[in-house]
Amino acid sequence: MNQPLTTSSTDNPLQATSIPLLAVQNLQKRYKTRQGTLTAFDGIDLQVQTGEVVCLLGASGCGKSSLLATIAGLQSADRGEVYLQGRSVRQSQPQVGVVFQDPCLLPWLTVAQNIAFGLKLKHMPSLTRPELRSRIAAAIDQVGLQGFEQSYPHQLSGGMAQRAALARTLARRPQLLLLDEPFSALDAITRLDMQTLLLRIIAQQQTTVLMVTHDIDEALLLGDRVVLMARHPGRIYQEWQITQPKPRLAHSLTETRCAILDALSTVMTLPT
Amino acid sequence: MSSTLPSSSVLRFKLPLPLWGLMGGLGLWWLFTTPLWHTDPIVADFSPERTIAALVQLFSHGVIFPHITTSLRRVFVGLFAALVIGVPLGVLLGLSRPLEQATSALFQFIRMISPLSWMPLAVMALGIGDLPVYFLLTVAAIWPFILNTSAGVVAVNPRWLLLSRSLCATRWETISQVIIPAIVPHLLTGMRLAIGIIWIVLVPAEMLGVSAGLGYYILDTRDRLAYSELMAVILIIGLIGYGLDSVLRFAYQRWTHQG
Ligand SMILES: Nc1ncnc2c1ncn2[C@@H]1O[C@H](COP(=O)(O)OP(=O)(O)OP(=O)(O)O)[C@@H](O)[C@H]1O
Ligand SMILES: [Mg+2]
Repeated sequence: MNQPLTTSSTDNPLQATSIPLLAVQNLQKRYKTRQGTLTAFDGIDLQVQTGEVVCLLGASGCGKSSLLATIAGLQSADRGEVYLQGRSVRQSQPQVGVVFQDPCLLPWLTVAQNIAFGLKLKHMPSLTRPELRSRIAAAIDQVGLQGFEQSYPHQLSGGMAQRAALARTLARRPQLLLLDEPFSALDAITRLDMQTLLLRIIAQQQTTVLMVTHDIDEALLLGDRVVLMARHPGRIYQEWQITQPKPRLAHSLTETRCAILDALSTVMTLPT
Repeated sequence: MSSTLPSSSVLRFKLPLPLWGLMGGLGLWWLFTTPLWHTDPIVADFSPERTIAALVQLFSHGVIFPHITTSLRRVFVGLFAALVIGVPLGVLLGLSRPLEQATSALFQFIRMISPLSWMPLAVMALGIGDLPVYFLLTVAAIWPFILNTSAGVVAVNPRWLLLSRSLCATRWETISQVIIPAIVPHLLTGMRLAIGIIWIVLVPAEMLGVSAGLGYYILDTRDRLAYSELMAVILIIGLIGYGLDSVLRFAYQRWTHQG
């Protein structure tokens, strides 16, 4: 089996010398349905370097969520391996944080308690009470939810709930953030807000992010690399390295944008 | 909207509707038993007038209190035992589909046997006294706990379980911190059904080999031919049962409103 090196990662001497934080090798996932087996994705090779933000783009149903869930260890792969810092993993790991499209807050806990829930689990390093409190406060500050610590999820707007979910994940200080369309359920203004917030957090914490989106602008705004998936079965079709420093202006990347759109429309018409 | 409610004229009397039903019941009771026109002294003994008098006496002399506390103690012991056995069993059944399938026929079978049928067996095995009563009450109350808990576990939002897995929670952490809080409404429903059943089974269960409790006291009044006291005890049983149910209904509403 050949090393799954993308062309872009060899461009960067720094990345080429270190082991990638995340490496996915020849990954395949099939679902057994009543109509037979459905290959959600196949032959996925992907590497994410420490500090890199990779955006996964693709048409609906091309297997983005399935890929992310498999990388997160929430479901098993049928073939291939997922490596975290060179170590093969098959289950969810404490140093990986996942944010879903829905906030998934536990309704009987307040915002602060929801964040604490993720921190107090056995697999997390144990914290003293003051440490726990300061971690929660820091996470709440980070997402700008001050004053809502004691609110229950049903008292929050969609954007606030998603912030709380992000805070719950960030408070665990994950090395790798896996985001599955975290903002797609939000209205345009709130989404822009959240993108700015995420951009700031990424810059502050040097977080490594693998993010699924079907918003090209979001990918261009946040990503260091944009990966386009094709479907039936889901596979990586093309990728673009985006070198422009952040924060970026949306209109400054028209060329890449057009290229991605072009590729996307080609992908949509590919024979399956 | 308001024009479609011809019954709104009833509301003018300012009495809540449930109270109307209660008044109606009381009226019928009085009609069929009042000494005003019932000459049979036994029938008259069952009348509301004499029952209220007996009730006042029972409370003012304090004769009834030990029986009430004894009965309530049995209820809570039975309820607690049923909860401690039924809830873990329900969680287990809810989590394991094969286990649920393996036991469903057995449980449906046992469930349909009136708990009172176990009475002779209970007395033979556990002797005379509180133990067989506890046993009968537990047997009666365990089913609502098992069935409601397992139904609750099956209905837990799969997203919460996925979240729990993504946070690397252990199995026990998932059960204790996600599943158990998630099924509280189901548990409260189970508890309410259990109390209803326990309260019904309690009276006959106390008619056997015990010397205190409301069921015992009913037989005692019968033996003493104190029929107005008998009616008073029946009234007390109904009142306490209604009170217990109301408390749980209130708890359920509080929880679901908040959640
Ligand atoms: N649990 C499952 N069982 C069976 N099939 C599934 C399951 N989950 C996903 N699929 C199928 O796998 C394919 C990929 O689904 P997936 O959710 O990964 O797509 P996606 O790229 O995330 O789409 P979207 O952009 O709409 O979220 C779809 O055809 C879907 O029907
Ligand atoms: Mg998806």
